[in-house]
Amino acid sequence: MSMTPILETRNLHRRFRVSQGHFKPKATLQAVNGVDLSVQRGETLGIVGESGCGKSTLAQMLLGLLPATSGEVRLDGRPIADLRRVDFARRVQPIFQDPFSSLNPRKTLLDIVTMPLRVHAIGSRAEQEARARTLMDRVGLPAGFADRYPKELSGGQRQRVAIARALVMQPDVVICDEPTSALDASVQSQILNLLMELKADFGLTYVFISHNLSVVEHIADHVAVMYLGRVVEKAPVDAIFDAPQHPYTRALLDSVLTVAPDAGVPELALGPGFPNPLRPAPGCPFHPRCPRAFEPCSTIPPTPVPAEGRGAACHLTEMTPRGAAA
Amino acid sequence: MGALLTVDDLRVDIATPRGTLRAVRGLTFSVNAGETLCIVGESGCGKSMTSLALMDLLPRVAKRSAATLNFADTDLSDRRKARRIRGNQMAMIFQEPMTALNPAFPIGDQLTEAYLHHKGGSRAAARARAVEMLDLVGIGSPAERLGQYPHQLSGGLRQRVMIAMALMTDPKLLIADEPTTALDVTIQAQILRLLRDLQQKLGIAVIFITHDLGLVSRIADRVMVMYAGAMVEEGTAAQIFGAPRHPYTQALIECIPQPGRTARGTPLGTIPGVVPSLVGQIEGCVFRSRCPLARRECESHVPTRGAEGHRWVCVDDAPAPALEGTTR
Amino acid sequence: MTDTTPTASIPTPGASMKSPSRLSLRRIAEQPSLLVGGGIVVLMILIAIFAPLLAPHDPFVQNIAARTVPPVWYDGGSWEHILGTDQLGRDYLSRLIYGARISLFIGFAAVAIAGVIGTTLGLLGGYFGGRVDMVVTFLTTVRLSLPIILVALAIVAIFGGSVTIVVIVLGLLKWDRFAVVVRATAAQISRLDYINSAKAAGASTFYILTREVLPNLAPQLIVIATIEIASAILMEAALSFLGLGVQPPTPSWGLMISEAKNYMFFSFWLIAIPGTALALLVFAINLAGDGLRDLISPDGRG
Repeated sequence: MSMTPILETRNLHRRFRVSQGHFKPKATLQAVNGVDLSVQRGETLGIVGESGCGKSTLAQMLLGLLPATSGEVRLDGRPIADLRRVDFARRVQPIFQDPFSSLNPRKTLLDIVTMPLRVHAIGSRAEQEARARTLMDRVGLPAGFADRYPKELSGGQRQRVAIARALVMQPDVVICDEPTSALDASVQSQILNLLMELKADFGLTYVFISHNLSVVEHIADHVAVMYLGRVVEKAPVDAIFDAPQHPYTRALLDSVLTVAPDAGVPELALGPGFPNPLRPAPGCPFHPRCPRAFEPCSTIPPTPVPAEGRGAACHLTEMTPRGAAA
Repeated sequence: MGALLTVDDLRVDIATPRGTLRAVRGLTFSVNAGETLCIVGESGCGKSMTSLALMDLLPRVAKRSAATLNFADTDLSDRRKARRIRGNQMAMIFQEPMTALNPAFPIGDQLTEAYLHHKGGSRAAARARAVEMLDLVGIGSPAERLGQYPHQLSGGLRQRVMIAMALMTDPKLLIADEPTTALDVTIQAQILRLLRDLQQKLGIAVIFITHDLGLVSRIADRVMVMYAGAMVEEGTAAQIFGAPRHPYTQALIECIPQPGRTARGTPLGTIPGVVPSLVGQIEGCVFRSRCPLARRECESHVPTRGAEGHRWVCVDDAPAPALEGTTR
Repeated sequence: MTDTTPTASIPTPGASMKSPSRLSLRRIAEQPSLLVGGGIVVLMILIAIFAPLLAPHDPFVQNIAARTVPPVWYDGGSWEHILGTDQLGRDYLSRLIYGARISLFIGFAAVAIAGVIGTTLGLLGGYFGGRVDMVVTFLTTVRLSLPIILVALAIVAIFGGSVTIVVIVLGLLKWDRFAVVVRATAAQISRLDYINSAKAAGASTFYILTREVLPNLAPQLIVIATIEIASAILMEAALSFLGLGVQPPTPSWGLMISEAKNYMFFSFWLIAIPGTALALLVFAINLAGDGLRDLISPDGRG
């Protein structure tokens, strides 16, 4: 843990002012609320959570597309606010969820994949195209596709184009925001396999954001679980999936419908009350739905999970020494 | 128990500039009273078209035909008779409740509309029924909810309202097209439990359409796997997941990461190739362009094998390598 | 490993794709509205360009002796003046040919100015949103609240009528539709992930606006441009008709109609000929615009 993480966040916050309608005061949405995370070079950090937990806002901030309200994102220990936009872009690249909106419909695939190189004026036009063609070949696109338009491609093929574009500048970190959520199962497995191969070949570091826990379990080394803008638990993948500490993590895992014909639909001991992100509960934000909530949960916020290391932001685990469950 | 719904040789043809797109190619199946039939497949396999065809909700360009389309002794191909069944004894739940509910009307009006149409009676009686149904699907203070508009409800609540709406007319068959796909996993589990409890309590048969194999394994009595508009395999959940016989079913199960069975970080199974064009006829097996076992025989007529309970469409009758069912 | 190589001979989507260039040539041929409309417009542009070569007479030379000679197909017409002569004895065909220059130039030039103004404002408002958008919306509202003909009349009345003034006035007044449509579309596009990808690649805002957003506006821009060109041509005719546009003796179609109005009960063709030319041009531009939009929009491709 003494190595400098390649990408980390320090007490990262992002607030949005949300209109509640005419003549009503604007409300504040804490989309990301004090997130401390770190990724070591060559690792895959999985981030899971349900809609509205702030994982997509976090992805935008990790890509430098959205400034922090407070706190900072660091690359190799340096705050990205101090880095030049173009220098940061060479090292951190995105893969987005929707392969239909992530490719410009008016450009050929070759134009799409060479775009980052042209923006950075790397190499001659011929060199740019050669590099793009090599990568398109590497991600499994047939050679004849270079002059085609996105419309002519299937969802899986489009996602391969997006991957080629993300890798064409040889970045160190790739932020994958739900990269397979829009795909069919048979295509999803192809893309996941490809991502795993590319990671090994190019020594990539992934931040893999998904609501699909089975996928995250398969691909991630470390996993952070988010709830209402906070990281509620963070641990190596084995620990999270084999011995979850936080009641919310447990509920999430229980609700995953793995192939198990006799298991039936799981019964979750969760309150049905969907939280209002504009008015999170005092104390632990999860306590209104928590089956194991007790007295301090409604008043005292639990200690956040530290950036380095592991743990759960829960009063239950605070009573036992941290890490004892490993 | 006898079959509630009998479908024989159901076809949906869509006229396109490039020719006739055969979205559903001769589907034969039945649903018994009180059971859950899951129709599973990837996008473009025709599962949603099947559900729309059953409810007669197909887009104008699509043409439906069937040798038999019977619901409890009523011939559904007779559109006048079908109108009395649809939205009454047969109800439907959609994937996206936000688009299925009309944003301009309070949910109370939308809940009572079909009931008043089919059952008649007073508005007050219909509203009482609506309150009862909202309570049944686990919505608190149901009487106040009647005046609310769809946008005032969360996604999970909207789907509960959709279910309540479907239950208003006391249907015998519920067709659910990906009803939980847009929901978070914890909400999905709650909605699925609700559906299962209601099914047991009210004895409703359910056709559940989804792409999620894990979900299917948890709720299905019987499973029908579709590919390129055709049924490739059908059986009980135990048969489909315990001993799948069709290469497509086997490959599809291999594609999803299964905790405890697929080691973390290892390559997942894939299905190479793409779905064939649905325009025009496909001679022989629909899956043969992507099947690892494809050979000459697959290009001609492919028999349906197996007994009534478990059938599959393949030239191979050899037992497939057994896959163990897994439980976390 | 790849999802693109079918192993058997089942036709797959994508396998039947033609190359894009062949595709668009074939599609142009399949667009009768574009063929007809575009053909007429191109023909009129050629006529306008080669007016000095095509016109049988000098359009300014008067011949009082041969006033209001009817076209050749009427009694008293002659092949000397195929479309007859006007009230001052000028060759009507020659004036019509030179008039096409004025109409087309004013239409295209005014819309070029308006398009640049409106597209720039719309792009900025739609892409940046917030305060920038408020300014753009305000400017658009101000512009929409100005009655265009009255303002044009006022300006022309102050500065006098000339082709340049008409172009500038129409250019400065007709950008609103560009701004409104571009703003809405740019706002939609700016939320799409390919814009985020370009941002994440470190692309400058100028690059994103010109290379990623603008090409996607082409279908809308073409449609609006054709509507506006047609409307500018009509508006020039209206201004000239009112005597506040192009000044005599310049041969503008609007002016020709205006000058003919006193004779319309005696020499009907004087008003019918430039009127028909005007209607045909406007119709052809609209037809070509529809065809171009269908051809160019990505949804219509393939």
